[in-house]
Amino acid sequence: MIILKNVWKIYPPNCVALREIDLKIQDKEFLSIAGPSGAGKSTIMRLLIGEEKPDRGVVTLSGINIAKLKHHDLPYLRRRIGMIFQDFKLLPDKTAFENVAFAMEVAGYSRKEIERDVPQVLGLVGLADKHEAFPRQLSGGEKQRVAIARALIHRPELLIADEPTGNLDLLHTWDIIRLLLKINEMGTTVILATHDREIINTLQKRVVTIDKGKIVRDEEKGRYVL
Amino acid sequence: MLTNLKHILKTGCLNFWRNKLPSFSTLAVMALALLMVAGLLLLGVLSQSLVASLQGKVDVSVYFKPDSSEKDVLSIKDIIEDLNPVAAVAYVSREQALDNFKQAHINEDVYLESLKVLGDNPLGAVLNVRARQPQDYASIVSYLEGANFKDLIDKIDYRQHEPAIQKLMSVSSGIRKTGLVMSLFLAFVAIMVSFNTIRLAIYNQKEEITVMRLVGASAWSIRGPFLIEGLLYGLVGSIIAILVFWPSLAVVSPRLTAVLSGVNLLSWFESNLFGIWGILLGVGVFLGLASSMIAIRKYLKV
Repeated sequence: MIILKNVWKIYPPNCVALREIDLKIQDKEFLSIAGPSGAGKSTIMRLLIGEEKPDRGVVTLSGINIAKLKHHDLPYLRRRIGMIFQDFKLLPDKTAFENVAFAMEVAGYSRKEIERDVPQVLGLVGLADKHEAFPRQLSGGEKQRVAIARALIHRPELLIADEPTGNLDLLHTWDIIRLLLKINEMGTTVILATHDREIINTLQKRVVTIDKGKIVRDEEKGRYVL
Repeated sequence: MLTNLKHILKTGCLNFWRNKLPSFSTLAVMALALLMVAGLLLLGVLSQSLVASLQGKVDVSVYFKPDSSEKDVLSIKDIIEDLNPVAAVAYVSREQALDNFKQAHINEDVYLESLKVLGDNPLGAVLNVRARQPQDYASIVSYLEGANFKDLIDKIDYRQHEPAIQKLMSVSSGIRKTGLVMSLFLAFVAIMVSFNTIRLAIYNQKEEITVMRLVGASAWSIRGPFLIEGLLYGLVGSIIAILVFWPSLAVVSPRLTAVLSGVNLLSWFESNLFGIWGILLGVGVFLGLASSMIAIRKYLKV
């Protein structure tokens, strides 16, 4: 369970990015965070992975107070959370296989474990036949799939998707959303930050709407309303 | 853990190889700084052995009056030898003193003619006293000047060597100080150049570093490769320094041996090769690691 309790984030001198955020996210939930650009969606994501610390309030993941984690423990937190982004953040000089394997190499996994797990997760995201392709040889949707595969390689309990379909056309957008739904059905909590009205309205899942740093709406089977 | 270490080593070496031109420039500067250190070491050994050999030639010469008997002089020799600060006493008889004098002035007829005129051997016996430590000469001389056999002594000759030794020591100390300052300066330059190269490597790896942080790489697995890179500059730099220094010394040393009263720099170097390389390696690795730690601290956000 993820809990944000009375969380404030203020960037000096007086930019209030988040105010009085109270949010509880259950395990295996699919949550969309909606809101215009600059509303504070990405700030919440950064708080969840320990990139930022709240100025007031507490952020906990499975009972762990993220702000109190020591700097050298943050990598282990980040292995429990997968993240994908609008700009994919793939390494251009590595193939799809190598991009995913990279996440395992830096965590000290053996070659044997890498050879076993990477093909599996690439198969899961529908890229079983694209191991050897470089990012420049893949479509936008395929690139995002590689990023998702990399995000899943540590079997995280939480997957955070920060505007993952921002650079994709309609077809690929729905491919990715369907993949996220599938991952959620397999037991991973998914938090999707988006300002795409169509996605929100079609999903019929819980929607938390943020505007100017404050939660203005929190609905099960929500719609994009501002 | 071991896999992680292998990965860090591999990435460090890869970084080193990827930026070939900056890496080779850094190596050149590092090798230069280490060459300076090697030169300084050599200079230290050289001046030490020069001073020691000169000091070995220093002694107090006690000239006895011609009418002092051999028996008296030899018993005084025993007395002086027993003194604590005295290392050795050499006895030169009146006859030997005369021969030495004739040899020293073999081409100078004036002296030889004067000897003929005097008839008898005008020279007394000599005792050459060598001290254990250079600083003991003063006490030996004052002992001799106050001894009960002082009436048998014609002259005590010591002072004239001292200025030469003092001068040699101050010159060599001056050269060593200059060498030290130059080494420190070059070491500073080596750190700066190495720091800059590693900063460049960090910049070139920006994307990879972002992804590494994202996927939960530990701080040291991100920093590690850059530390390895710094270490490599020190290691390879020390090898290059030795590979340049050794043949250069082989060429120069024979020419210097004659000038330096028999001190053979090349054989000293070869017999202490691993020790010298160890020092250069230590200094090089220190410089390399220091520069990468500064660059990491300043530019690598983990």
